Amino acid sequence: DRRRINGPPGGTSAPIFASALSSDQTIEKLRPTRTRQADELRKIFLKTGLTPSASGSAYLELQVPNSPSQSLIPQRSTLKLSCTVHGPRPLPRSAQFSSNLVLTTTVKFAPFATRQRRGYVRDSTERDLAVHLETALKGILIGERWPKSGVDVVVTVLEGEEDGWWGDELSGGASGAGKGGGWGLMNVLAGCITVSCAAIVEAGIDCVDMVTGGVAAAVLDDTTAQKARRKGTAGDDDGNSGSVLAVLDPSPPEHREVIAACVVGYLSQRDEITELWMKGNAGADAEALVDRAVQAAVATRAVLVQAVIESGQAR
Amino acid sequence: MTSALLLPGDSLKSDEHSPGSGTHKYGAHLCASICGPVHRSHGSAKRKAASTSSKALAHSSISISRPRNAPLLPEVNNAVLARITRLTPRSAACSILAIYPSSNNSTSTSNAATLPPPPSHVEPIPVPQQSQFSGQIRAQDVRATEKDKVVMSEAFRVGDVVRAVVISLGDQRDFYLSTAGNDYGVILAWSMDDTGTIGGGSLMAPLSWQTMKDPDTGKTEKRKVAKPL
Repeated sequence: DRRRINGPPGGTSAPIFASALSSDQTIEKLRPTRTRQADELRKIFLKTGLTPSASGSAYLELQVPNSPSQSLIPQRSTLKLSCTVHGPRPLPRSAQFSSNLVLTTTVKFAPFATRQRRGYVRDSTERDLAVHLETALKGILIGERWPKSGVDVVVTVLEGEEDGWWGDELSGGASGAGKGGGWGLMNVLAGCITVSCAAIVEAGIDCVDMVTGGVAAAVLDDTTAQKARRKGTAGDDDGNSGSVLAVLDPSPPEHREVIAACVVGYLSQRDEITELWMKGNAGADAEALVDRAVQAAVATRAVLVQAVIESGQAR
Repeated sequence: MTSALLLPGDSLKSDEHSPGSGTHKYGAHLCASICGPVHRSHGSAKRKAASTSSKALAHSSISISRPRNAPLLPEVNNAVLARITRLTPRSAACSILAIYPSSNNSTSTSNAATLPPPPSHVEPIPVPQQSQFSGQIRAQDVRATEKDKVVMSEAFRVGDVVRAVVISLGDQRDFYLSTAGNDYGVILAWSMDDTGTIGGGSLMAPLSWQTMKDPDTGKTEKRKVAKPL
């Protein structure tokens, strides 16, 4: 990319002192654990109106975990999203006549959003996320109110979620399976749905209901091994019971292995699902996984309602 | 004190109200479509001694108030203010600058041949720069009489601001507007200056339905002029 002044290729990271990475056991101590309950979500910060020049805008951020660590390496990333909505505005003159509102969604990861630096050009992952987001939002917009108009929803991911713990790549760790499964993308999509809805309602576009995103996952239950690690006893790696645990709002670095995960876009007042995306092998529990994701979406709605009411009162 | 805000999807208690702006029907009841306070309007209804209560309440409507800078779309039978951008012998292209909000009492039984009167004592709401829709006034919609003998350059000039009515959503590019009516036509026009630049002179005042006069030079120019409100 010769048009821009690029940073060093391959990404940059804080200096790691050689003594800190002496052995696998040392790295293992840095592995993050899930301290929340299985049905507890991370705290969400959602605020609208941050981009005054757009018709509607919103910003979403998840709570940073405050687990102390002895290393300078950043433990894990927390989702940070910014969304702007432009419209309804006239379609370009070359566009076909449309008696309904034309929705265009764009999702873009900032180059600094992930541990591996991304490019400036939109790639297939971002296009895929945009299609999922459009599916979720199409279900709430009342298109007949706005003929010959288009609305643009642009979500910028300032910090994305990871698919797993960075240490597993370094030390060739326990869970080879499920790597690169794209689990972090599901959290990103759920956040995109919620933040886009807040921006759309702020823009004053007619909707039948508000849609929120919720994620649920089926993970390998290694709580006994985690407890042993926290107590400091030298437990062996195979402290797992081997059973499957269902969690809401999974943070993939916290789990050794994610078996299946599901994102839904859910309308609470109408009890409808507008978007459903499942990955992995849920087996016979697929429906139960969807129900759990709906639970997560319902919990997120409380935050969305508060943010929208605040923006309505500020106007 | 702000009244309670409703969110999209919240159901409204609408006993005999008709749905207004910002609401939609879901099943048997009305729901809100946008975030805002509820507004119940009671239209004036003639009360006869023998009329039932349902007739009197049929004119009231329930709607959600939109904020001042809410997105706006020109609807059919809305009066608008537009600026002429291009003239051809058969049509005038214009850019819609402001929309008069449509009153809730507008009856749907208006005669198709005559345009609805412009709303009096109502401020038009300006449209933001990036959302300016484009409109077209065809030659047969410039005036109500002698439609086939219209000369476009004697009705409008580029740069004039006209009051017109939206008659149709039109095609992919333009809304169709009409100035056929005494209250519609040119509101603001600038005279041709000495170098021959159209609209380079000063603001003109209306003289008759087809003439405007420059107060400085005294010269008159032909326009299809709207009756001053």
